[in-house]
Amino acid sequence: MSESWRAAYLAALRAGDRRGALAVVDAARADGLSLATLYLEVFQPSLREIGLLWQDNKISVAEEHLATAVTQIAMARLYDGFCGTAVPNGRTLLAACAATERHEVGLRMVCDLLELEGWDARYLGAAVPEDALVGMVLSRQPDAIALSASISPHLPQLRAMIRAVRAACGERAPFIIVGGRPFLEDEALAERVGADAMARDASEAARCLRERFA
Amino acid sequence: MTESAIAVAASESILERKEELARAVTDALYAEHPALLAQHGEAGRLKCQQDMRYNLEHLAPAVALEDPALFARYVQWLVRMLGARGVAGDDVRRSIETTERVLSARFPADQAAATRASLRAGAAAVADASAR
Repeated sequence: MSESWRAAYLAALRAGDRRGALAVVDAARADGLSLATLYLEVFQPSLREIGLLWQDNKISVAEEHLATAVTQIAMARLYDGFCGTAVPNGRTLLAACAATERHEVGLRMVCDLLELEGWDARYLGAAVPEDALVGMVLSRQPDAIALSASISPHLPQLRAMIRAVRAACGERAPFIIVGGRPFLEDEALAERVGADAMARDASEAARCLRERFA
Repeated sequence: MTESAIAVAASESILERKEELARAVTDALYAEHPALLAQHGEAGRLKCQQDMRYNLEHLAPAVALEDPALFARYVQWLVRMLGARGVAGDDVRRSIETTERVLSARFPADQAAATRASLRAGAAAVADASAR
């Protein structure tokens, strides 16, 4: 059922048609598609396809950025609909992108999916200095931290962030999960940067954290 | 210095000297292959220098993490991306081989050696990507 919605959404993205894309989202919701299905089976594959279209020189980088911006608007609109509906489960997550990472949609999806289940998920965005991240970890003492890097130039900073958190927290360090393209292609990379776990996409990240903190 | 400390130092030097190195690799490529200028023009030369910066930005983490496969996967991605924009895989391979020569000439021997495995994995990855 999600396939035709995906095709319609991708077509709207390729046309750079924000209203059209939001109309697809509204119609899919009215048709009974869950937020998770929209995120994981409509937005995620559509954006991956957009990335491949850019790689293959079929769309410009401006069109790629527009598709991302439209999807962020769609996610904010959906978020409005479920915000505050979940019963808090007492779990907390801090999420941040390494360095100047601009591919932040996946991590925002993780936060929204967990919030839907009652987590208090805080998304700090990109370019969070190490000491600021450590400060927030010490003051909020989250159960988990989710960090994302979509290209390898961001890996050294991601590793430095994890080291800084571990150095500050010692044995009381939160569970650290990482994601992003470099991790998809190398199972062992997450351990080498010091993480506890790796997720291939937003649903795997949410599942991993759900099971870890059941 | 331990091997991994040398690798980290080499990686930091690559990023600190990125502009100088990107220009040196581009100059060497165009000196060895004057046909490139005729083919892509002065704009192509600037684009080439930009591409060399990206290459160096992706080489640095592979060197720091001592993970040549990281750079090889970037090169596979790059060959497809540039192939769609009219750049031949051979030109990508040459740019990586030239980077190895530039680093050998400009870096201390131990740091240059720390970059070699990643550069060679990258050059070898061109053939894999082109064969697809």
